[in-house]
Amino acid sequence: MSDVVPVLTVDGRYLEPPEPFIQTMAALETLRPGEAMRLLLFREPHPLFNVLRQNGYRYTSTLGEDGTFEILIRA
Amino acid sequence: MIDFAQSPSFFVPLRFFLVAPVFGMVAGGLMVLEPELFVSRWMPAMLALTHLLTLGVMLHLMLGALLQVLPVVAGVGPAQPDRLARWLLPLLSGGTLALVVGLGRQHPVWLGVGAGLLGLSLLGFLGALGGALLRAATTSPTLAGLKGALWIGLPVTGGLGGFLALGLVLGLAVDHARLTDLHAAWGLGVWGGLLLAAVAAVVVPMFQLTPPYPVRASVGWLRGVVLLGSLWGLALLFLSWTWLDAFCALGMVALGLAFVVQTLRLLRQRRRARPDTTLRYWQCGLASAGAGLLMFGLSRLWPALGDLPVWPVLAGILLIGGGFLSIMTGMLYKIVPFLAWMHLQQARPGTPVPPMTRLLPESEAQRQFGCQMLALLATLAAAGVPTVPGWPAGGLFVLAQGLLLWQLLQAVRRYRRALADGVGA
Repeated sequence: MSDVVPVLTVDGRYLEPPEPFIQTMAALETLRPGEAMRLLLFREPHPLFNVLRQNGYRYTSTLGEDGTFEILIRA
Repeated sequence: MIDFAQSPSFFVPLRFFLVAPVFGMVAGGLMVLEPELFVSRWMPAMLALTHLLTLGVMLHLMLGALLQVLPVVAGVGPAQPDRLARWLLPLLSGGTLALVVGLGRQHPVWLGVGAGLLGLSLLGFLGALGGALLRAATTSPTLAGLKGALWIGLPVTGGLGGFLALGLVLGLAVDHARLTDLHAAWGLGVWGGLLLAAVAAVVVPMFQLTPPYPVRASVGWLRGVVLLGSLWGLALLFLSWTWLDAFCALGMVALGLAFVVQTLRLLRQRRRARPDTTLRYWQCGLASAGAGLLMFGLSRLWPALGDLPVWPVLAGILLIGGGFLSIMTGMLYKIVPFLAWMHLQQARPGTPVPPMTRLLPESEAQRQFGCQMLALLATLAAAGVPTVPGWPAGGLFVLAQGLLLWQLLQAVRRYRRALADGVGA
């Protein structure tokens, strides 16, 4: 997945819940097959991961030095 | 249309959240009925009060929260959470009640029954959750903290408590004072400290919109807590090295103060426009815990302070009543409406659901906060000034915990109505 360029980014780091979840769901609806998006958060959103798995999305999650989780999601 | 994942029912953690303030009210009632309990930490009624707060309130909130938090932050959870909660809660509550009666009335049978039931409940909880958590990849300091708390902090604290209870029941010749100090240090410092830090790493940035805790320093902090706690155990139980005992105690104080300072710094950088009650609870709770830690640290540097009966009582009130209880109550005012909102979303995908602020309004939280802070001040006054009676503190505490219980029940009522309506309530 590291070769995929995300077509859009949702920066949820300073958004109050449930806004990051809502924006990510809305963004996923716009992705075409094979396209990817990036989500930035200060935590790993396991409920979102469950949703992604159930709906056939692939994802990776990487923790950066600054505490940001970069989650790449591919349709 | 996207399918939402299933998570434990809303009522799995909620049962525990509703029982906790009931124990809080009992604690307040004890302060009213036994005004002499502030005289010393070793008074039977004070031991009962301590465990009403640490087991009845704190442990119920902690285990209830973990049943929901672990799936959310770690992606692991019990196979059948509703079934687990159905037997865990009665064991935990029954064990707490029996232990408190045993301590307060100095009754070996009740003490033994309480310790036994609590031991079973903790073993059952670890058995249901611990394995899955151990297998989960440690992808963040939060996961590391949760693993440390559940697999090191909780068993050691429970084991020390169980051994103390056994010693009292069988009349064994054990050094109760040393073991009690170690039990308290592990309960508050390692189990409570690791769990609080692990959860704070998620909820502080999430709900207060702050930068994250620094990753490397957090990992070092977690390791330091476990290392110092272990060395402290060696020092107290096997080595009797006074210098190591003092080093570990002061080291734990320093780590606790580091967490207090770091969290307050993060909260100052929050991007939330308006301060809310959860923020006030964090600020007051951290300040109180910091004061309690300083008092404890000073008593190690100047033992004459620690020999004053009132000193450890005040430190304990600040750390437990002012610190842990405040922070946990503040978290409840965010976690409960968030969970309600999340479950409404899952039950009614695509249908508008009431915002979190309508499920548990800020105005209600503010009233409860005011009452709880008054109760804390009254308790400190009753403990610190011999002429100040204890019943006002007890009465205020009953009121504060009663308000909390009432407001949580109202949130449940709004949740059920929204579920039944299928639209915003």
